[in-house]
Amino acid sequence: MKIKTKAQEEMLGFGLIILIVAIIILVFIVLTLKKSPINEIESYKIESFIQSSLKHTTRYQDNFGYLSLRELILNCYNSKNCYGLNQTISEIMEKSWIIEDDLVKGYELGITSDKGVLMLLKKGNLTKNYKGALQDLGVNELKFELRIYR
Amino acid sequence: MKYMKRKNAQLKIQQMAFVLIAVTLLFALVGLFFLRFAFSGMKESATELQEKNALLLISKLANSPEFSCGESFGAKKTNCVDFEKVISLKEHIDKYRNFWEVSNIEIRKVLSENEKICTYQNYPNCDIIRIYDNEIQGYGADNFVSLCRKEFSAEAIGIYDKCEIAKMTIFYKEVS
Repeated sequence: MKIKTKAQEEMLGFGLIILIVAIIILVFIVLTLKKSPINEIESYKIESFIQSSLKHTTRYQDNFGYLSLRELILNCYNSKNCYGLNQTISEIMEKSWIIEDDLVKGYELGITSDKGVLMLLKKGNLTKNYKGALQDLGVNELKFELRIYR
Repeated sequence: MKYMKRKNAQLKIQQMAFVLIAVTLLFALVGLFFLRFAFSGMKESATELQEKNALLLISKLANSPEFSCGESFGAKKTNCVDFEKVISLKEHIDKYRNFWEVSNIEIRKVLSENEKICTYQNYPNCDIIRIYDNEIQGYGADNFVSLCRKEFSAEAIGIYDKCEIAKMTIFYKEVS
């Protein structure tokens, strides 16, 4: 009778050890999955790119002079005249983020407002690992967002 | 009877030793697993920090009085480089030889098709400005800036502000 109780105690102890180890492994797995690179990392380079490209003087003009890319976007939003916007952005993106380069696999650029999507440009392979930045243009939730996939 | 009891005890000690070895091995494996992930994260953070520092140095340079647009092109802008200041700086670079502790500074217009190096003579119809020398050495880190200048238009507009997207690269000498 005594021998049987001892065997039961040992089995219980072993079971407890396995349970503790299993809990530790589960905690590690949860922690490592949380740190996966899927999370969006804010990138200084992309922020600088957005700011510089918004200041870029385009070849398009109105009565007051040549328009910057920011003004071209605002023009498109206000008057629905989006002439030149797609071409300018595509040209800037193609020359700035070269997809053949090993560091850039693809990119996704979106200009959105309270009315919906003003422009969407996707190119290359959109992987799960990306860096991105968002710039508020300060008018009716008009936003310029760029994601660079690596 | 006494012999049997001793044998039983020995068996128990052996069993206990095996369990202890197994548990130690398990913990060691878990420890290794944890260390691997912890160190891979550290390496990523170090690379990211290095990248961030290089980018911050470029921003610091672009916003320094020698390069910055100031308020020449409307309100004060960040990461805005005055093309005229830079070309002027290139002409007087001997006074700044060891000022920024970099081997060279390059500003390249992103949308240019050509690779014409800028001098005082061909300004502004050029594509690349190299501040120290026309040759580049070492490894570089780059960031985007606005390269602005005053431009004259023959059409009705007259003088206007022209900003172009450019890449500013700082080069460091490789440590042997």
